[in-house]
Amino acid sequence: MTRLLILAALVGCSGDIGSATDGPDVPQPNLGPGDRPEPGAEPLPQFHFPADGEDIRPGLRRLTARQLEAAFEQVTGQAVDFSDLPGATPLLNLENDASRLMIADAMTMQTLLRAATEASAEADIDARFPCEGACSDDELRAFLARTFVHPVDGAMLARYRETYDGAQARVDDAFARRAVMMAALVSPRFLYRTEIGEGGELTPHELAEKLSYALWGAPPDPALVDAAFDGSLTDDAVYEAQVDRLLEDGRFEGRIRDFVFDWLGLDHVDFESVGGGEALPLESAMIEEVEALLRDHFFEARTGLVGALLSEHTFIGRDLADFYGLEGGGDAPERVELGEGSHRRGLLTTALVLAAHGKVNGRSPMQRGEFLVDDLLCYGFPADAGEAAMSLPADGGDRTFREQFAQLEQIPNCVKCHRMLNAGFAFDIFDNVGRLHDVDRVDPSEAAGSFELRPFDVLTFESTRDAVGQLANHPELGRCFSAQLLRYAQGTIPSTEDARLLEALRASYDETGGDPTILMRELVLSERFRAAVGGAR
Amino acid sequence: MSQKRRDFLRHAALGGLLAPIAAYFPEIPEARAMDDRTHLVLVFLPNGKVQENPFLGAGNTPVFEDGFRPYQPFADRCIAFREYGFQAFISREYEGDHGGHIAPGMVMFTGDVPHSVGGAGQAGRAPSIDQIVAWDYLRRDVITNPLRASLNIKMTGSSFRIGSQFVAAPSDYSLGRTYNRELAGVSQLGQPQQGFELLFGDLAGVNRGATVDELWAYGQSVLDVPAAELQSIRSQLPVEGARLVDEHLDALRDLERSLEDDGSGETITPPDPPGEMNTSDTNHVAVFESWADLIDVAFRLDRTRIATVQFGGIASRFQVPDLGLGFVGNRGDSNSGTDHHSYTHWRGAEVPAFMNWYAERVASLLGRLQGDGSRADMLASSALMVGMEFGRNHNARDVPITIFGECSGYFDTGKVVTYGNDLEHFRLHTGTLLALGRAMGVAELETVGHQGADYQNGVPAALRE
Repeated sequence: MTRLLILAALVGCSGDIGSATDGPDVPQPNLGPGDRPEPGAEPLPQFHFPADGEDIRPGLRRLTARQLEAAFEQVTGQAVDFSDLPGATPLLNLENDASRLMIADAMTMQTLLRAATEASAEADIDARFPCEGACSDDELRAFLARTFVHPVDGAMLARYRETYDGAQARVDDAFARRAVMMAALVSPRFLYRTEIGEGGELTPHELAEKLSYALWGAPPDPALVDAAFDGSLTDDAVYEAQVDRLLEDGRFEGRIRDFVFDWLGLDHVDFESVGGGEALPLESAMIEEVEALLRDHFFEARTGLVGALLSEHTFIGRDLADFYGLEGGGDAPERVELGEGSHRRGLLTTALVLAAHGKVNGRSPMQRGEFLVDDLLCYGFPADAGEAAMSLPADGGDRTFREQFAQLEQIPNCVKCHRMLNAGFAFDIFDNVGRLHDVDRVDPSEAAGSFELRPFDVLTFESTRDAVGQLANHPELGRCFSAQLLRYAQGTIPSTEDARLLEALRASYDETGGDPTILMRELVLSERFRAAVGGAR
Repeated sequence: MSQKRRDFLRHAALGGLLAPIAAYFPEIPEARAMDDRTHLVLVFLPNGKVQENPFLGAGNTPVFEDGFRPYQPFADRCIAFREYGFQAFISREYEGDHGGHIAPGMVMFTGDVPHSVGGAGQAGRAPSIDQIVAWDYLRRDVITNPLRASLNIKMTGSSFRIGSQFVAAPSDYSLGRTYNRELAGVSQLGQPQQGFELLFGDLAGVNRGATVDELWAYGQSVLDVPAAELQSIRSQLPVEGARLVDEHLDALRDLERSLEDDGSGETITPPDPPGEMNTSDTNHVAVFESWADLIDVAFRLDRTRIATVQFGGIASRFQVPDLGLGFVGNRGDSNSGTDHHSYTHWRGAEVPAFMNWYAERVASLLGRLQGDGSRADMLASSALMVGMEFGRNHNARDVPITIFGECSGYFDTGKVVTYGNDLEHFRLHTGTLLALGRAMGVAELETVGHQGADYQNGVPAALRE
């Protein structure tokens, strides 16, 4: 995900380093969301998801591009690429916000219709949509029910019967089945899932879809569909058993991997740019390292997010070990111990995370500081960090890089952001792709510093590893992880209706160190997850 | 002589490999007399000048300074603005973060501040002026194909939070309306080949095989199936859900309308299609040249009347390796260091280099539109406005704004107009957007952007005198 807080860092600054020069051209601070302070009071940084807003669930949600790809493949057997599908840009890192996932123009609709046409034309139609000769109503109904995970009433059947008959008359039976498949793939019953419910609770079909997309990011499998159609899914014991079955499936691990990659902005690393125009040969190894680390701490050792952040080992092959300056690593990734001398500790010191939040050129303390504040802890910068009229000296003179930034802390407007962004210095001993800088350029001692996220205690750290330890135990980390996990499952900004669930998730985070399986299980078993829009649950 | 549709289909299949598009375009004739047509191009440039970087010389005729000199050949065809600002408006009306970036980018063409979620600016809450015109044109059948209502181009580059600086008019739009909710950005294209398909695809078609073609042809007749299902769901939804359904229904209707407008009655000769291009940072110039060709030919053949061009997005995430300056913007999600932030903070002397690069691109398009005497002067029937992310460092003050073209006599060009950077001058910005709408013939349009009485005062007289 994109961000600019570096800018914001300086964005609130006005004046030359060392000599504030507020003048007639310097605009007034731009006050922020909802909490314009009393005169003289300084706005606090804000948590992105305070859970005190209105519940604006729309009752239906369009599938995300990735979910559409999975759904198309399940129905047609064809791989479809929706990465260019017009539509939602991520909202605070996640792209599944229900209010933003629209089909708002003809171009989007045309893209979907073309994909439906091509996938239907190329599908193994006898396998995907079997009929004995010309399709009977029952066969048609069975295909539609399976595709939509929704009961097919008479009116709906009639519409598709008409489509089928028209196409059959035009060409033949196989073409008619393709035409029905194509029409179904652009149906709102397929492109969206609903949360309308009955009696305040999701219907079994809605629940099956919601659960499957929450835990797998894909449509329900036959067992879950069967439980929806026979109604048993509304039985708490059956539902719980289905939840556990889905959690034990490998697709859940993939879903959590995708969540972490989205949340921490790891999916869009431009390896060529970050390598200064040269492709990085270790791209796959970098991704695999993070995946292995997550697998180990989330699903094997079950030490959760805190364990992944504090990990004293990693999983790398010889190439990446050399890149890191570590001993060990084989032809294939294997467990390699870290330790004090490596300056590395856990997820935040992997090459992928460092590259994802490093600049192409030069050092990146502010980028990484912004990542820690905005992504890892879910905090926005103070409301008055809105605009800047900066005019710094042409060069830093004799001052070191660190000293130039230190001066910003003496300027009232600048320090509002820089006392937060300074956490990034803890990772500034690593270059833009995660290698240790030469000591001549950046001495490891430069990783010392402090981090202040008001109103919480100031963290003072002596080294990268020390900073990781303190960040992993920051009181807002669990709140952020829980809120983003909730958004990932529910697809909406938390509201007052979510406040109780959010607190429960946070408590579980504290107990488990952020075990995603335990938190997600609690989440999908909650009454809130199973409630329809406006429902009682 | 016009090609038959099937002949063209054959050409289309190979054209990408064989046809040097630029060599072909000069032979394109105008579709018909252009007396009754006007055209709008909006260009959004990330970043902006720094305080020490002048835009115009003194005086009342445009003399462009370093960084903007490629505009000089068009000095008598433009209105250049001195003291064009809207930061004071943002400071007063915007309750979100990053007022120095997200807000100016969105205010530039919508005249209103962004919608924010959790304090974070995320989207527009008023349609941009290009989409207001497109909405009006579709309503009045000035144009008949919704897919070609506007050509929206995004040159490769990322953007901070808000992807598109151009905002679509929602299904419940009425002229001048603004919203308290977020609106969808326009769908943007990155490949000239996609643009060709949008503009000429109905003439060219795409041969994907017999079954796909047959199914595609049949598919156009079954869109009433999803429409009926949307209607059946809509009644069960809360207001927010019904709104999403309405947008979808609108999109469906527009697609149906586009498919009906299959170009079968057209007798124009379409250009050869461009091949798939490398749209990476290293190929910006060639990609933009191809887009400029397409805009020019699309206007001449009346395949659209509106084009928007966005170079990357806000926070200056636009990389021009050829400049050898490091990065104007930066990859992905950052914007500091040897890039935009450094430029605006301590490498300001290098700002004219990349501003000049942008100006060269715009001038290239202007040159095509103006023609060389052998073809009609499209600039006379066009308005091309270049808008920026900000003007003075991170502030939307002294933004270097220029409108090129007379738009069929609407704008009085060849001069510098001085506005002002204070709050009271914001009405001049909304008035300028209003002028673009009026110049395009949207006669009923009274306001653009924020509806506060302080912010609206009609079309500034200086634009027309």
